[in-house]
Amino acid sequence: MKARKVALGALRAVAEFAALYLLPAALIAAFNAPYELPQATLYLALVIASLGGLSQALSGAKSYALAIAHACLVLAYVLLITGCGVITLSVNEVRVTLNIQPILYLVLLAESFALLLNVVKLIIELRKPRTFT
Amino acid sequence: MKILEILTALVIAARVLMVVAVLATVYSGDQLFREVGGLEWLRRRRLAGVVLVYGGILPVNLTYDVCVDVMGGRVGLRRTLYVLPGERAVIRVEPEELVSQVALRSFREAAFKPVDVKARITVRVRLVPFLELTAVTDRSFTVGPVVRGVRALRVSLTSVNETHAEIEASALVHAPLLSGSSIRAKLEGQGVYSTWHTFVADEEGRYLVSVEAVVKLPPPKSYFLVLCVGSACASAEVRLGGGS
Repeated sequence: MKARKVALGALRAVAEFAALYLLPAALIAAFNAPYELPQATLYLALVIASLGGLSQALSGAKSYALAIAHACLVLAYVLLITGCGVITLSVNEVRVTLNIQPILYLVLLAESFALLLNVVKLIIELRKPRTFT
Repeated sequence: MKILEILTALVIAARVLMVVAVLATVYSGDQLFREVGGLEWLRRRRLAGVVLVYGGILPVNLTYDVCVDVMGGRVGLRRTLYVLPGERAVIRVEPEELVSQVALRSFREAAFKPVDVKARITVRVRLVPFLELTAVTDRSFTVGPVVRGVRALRVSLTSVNETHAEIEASALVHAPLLSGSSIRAKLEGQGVYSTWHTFVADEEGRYLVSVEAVVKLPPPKSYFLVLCVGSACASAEVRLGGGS
């Protein structure tokens, strides 16, 4: 049972790293998009994927605590790659500015609710009476 | 445990809303940019407008803003368009119209000789309420000469007395881009007395210029018809009884 959880955790870590770094980098390269991922993206994606994998592999309070840290870093990742909702590109001597702040707020709202849910779950878990065997 | 259910429901609702917003924006953006014309002109370094035929989901608010600088003067031209879902509309700003605005409002320096113009074109597209795209490009181009030709130029004597003669100079000036503006004209030459005359264009942008003057006898053979648009002036030589 434990080996299965570890395998699932590893799988989640790999999938998250692929979604947060490998896929965006591949898409940018494939479409020759005039956008560069910020330097910190790689390290942030590695940490987020590790935290996601660990929270999947562990259970109980530790899992919820890791999930909270994971959600916080996902919020930071979203803010980082979207430039806080305003992305400026240069295409064929045309300076293009994309303002996606409304969508960013929706993403942050959803992630904030998920974060809050994990905080509540952690509190409930910590308040459970413990049994020692 | 009720708080967990409420929070779970909120998470699901927020995520559904987020996915719907992203899909609606991506679809509308695809519809919008698939059918925007005029961008090819920009790539060819020509000042041009935007043709928008829209069939997306989100309302579109498009602003096409041109700010032109020439010889210290500045003229702005703005077009806005609001398209509701399902509507199809066209916004078009022709280069000729831009040049016309430029010529009429403050760039009369371009009346008789070409002048270099710098333009900043800003296209702002809002897919209400989720996305705002602003594209800014700087272009340089040449305007003018706006006066395309001066024809049928002649000076003739209308009457002669003992010391002076009355003469009349006439010309046909073709300048359709100046049709909302007036042209001033006077005749110059040795012993010529002439005042400024003002002319407006006919429907086809032609100015029928006719200037009367008094000249000492004997009348000189050669005269200069001075034409002014704003502070920009040019002169054309004309000989008595004939063309330039």
